[in-house]
Amino acid sequence: MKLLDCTTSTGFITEDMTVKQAFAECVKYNTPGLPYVDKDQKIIGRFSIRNTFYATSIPADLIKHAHLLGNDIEHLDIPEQNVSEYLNKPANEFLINQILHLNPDSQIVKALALMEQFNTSYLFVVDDNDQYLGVVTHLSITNLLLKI
Amino acid sequence: MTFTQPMLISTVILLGAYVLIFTEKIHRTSAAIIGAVSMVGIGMIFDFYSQEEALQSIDANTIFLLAAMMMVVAMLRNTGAFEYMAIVLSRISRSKPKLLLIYLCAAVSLISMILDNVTTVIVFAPLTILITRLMQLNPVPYLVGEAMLSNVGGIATLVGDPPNIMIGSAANIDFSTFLVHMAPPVIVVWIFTITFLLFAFRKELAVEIDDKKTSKLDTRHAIKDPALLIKTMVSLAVIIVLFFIHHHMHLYPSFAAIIGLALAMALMQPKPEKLFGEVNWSVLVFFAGLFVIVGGVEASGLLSMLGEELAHVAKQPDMLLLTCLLIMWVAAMLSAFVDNIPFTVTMIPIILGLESAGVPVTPLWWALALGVGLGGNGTHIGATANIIVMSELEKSGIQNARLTPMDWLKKGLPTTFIGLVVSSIIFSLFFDYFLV
Repeated sequence: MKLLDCTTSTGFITEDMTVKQAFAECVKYNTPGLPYVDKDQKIIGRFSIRNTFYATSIPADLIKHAHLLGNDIEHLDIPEQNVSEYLNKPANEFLINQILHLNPDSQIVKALALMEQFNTSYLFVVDDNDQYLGVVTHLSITNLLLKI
Repeated sequence: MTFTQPMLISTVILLGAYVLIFTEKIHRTSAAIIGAVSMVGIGMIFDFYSQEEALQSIDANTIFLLAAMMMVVAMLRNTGAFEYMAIVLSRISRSKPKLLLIYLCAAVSLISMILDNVTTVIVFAPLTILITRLMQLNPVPYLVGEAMLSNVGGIATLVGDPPNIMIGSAANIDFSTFLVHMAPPVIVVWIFTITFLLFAFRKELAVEIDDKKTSKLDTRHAIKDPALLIKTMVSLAVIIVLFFIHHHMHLYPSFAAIIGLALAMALMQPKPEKLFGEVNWSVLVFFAGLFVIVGGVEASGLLSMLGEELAHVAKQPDMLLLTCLLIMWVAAMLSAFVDNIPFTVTMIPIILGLESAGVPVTPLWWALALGVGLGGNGTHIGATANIIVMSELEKSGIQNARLTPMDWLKKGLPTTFIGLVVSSIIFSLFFDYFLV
């Protein structure tokens, strides 16, 4: 099994995009995150849906005690006003500098191990010439396994 | 007695280490290790301090007591008992903001009397933010109150605060004697402090809460493992009972804690590497380093000389009360701005020196404990609990929940001042009580 067989080609998040546009790109390619590129199309970071939610909608106290929240709590939903506020923010405000990538010749097990090590569900596939080839996710790997 | 070369050398090393600790140029534990190594090395060269003396200067009772209690607290923390208690308190406060403040602060104070107040605040602060978030209340009064009153609660017992452990160990004061002498002033200071906080935060607390906003946290999921909780509580109960009777059984307080820890380990069989990982070794090594540094100054004869000089003043019956009040206020003022541990460790041999000179030092120990404890409330850096709540408030992302150092000062300095005035009045009125 080659890593390339489960790599999905995607677009990038660019400097002029808002969070809303970045979310739309992630949904379009069915991936939890996408590479962030500068004007020269060089990958300088990544945009992550999870990180954006974490930064905008889920305070630390809520995460720590999520198991204690009753089902009848009404006023803790993310207010629509907050949503529209951060959706219009520039995507680069939520840029993560750490870029997790691997070579297309890598074993799938390495991809899975790296995902575990860095507590993520996606990795970028970049060749020896720093050319971005796409994203590999838990879902794309599972999809490949199901075809065996 | 003349000022000798070893006295000068040891003072320079002590001051150098304290400057490193207080300026935070390097981590305080690193500073303490550097200071300790320097003191032993130079002490050996100048023949006033030996390796044996350095090892003997480390108060094993303090170190083992802290380590054992850290492990017991780690086990208790994982049970969810604190979370359960906080949710129940939020319910019985019946959506009344002032009652909620009183209940939470009382709980934190009581827990801090037995367990480390830093751990107590670490557990309570994020949960309190969540409770206030659900009730749409400003979390600031609650977190500030919890930090301040956990500091106050910790003063009441031998094990409530590291300085108390050091004082009790050095002065051979047992748990019950400590409680009997410190609880009365602490209770009065507590009442005055909560009254002041209710007044200072009157605007934030003057909120009507409807039932929908009432905290709807689910207690059923709070206790993670009821069997584990029972075993931990049994072990903790054994420790508390042993604390009350340790002097009758000729046990060190640390040994009482270790017995409870051993019981907990037998009942729960935790993974030792995980349990030992919960111990804050950095704090313990910091304390050990300070003991070695101050041991060097003591070995140089400087602290005995200081004790003898002070004894001339403190020996006069009229001056003893004044000396107590002076120690209390100076200790509080210093503790508000710098770590209270180095001050306590330095004061202990001085007071022991006074005792050797025939001064009745018992009230001085109480004054020192009150001073270093109350001073911690003065500024945001006065106590670790204060720093924790500042950080938790910042992390909460709640707009009006930011607390600047100046905001803390506005509430902290009056709180400390009120505490000191109340303690001084109690000390002066009932001085005979503190003499024995």
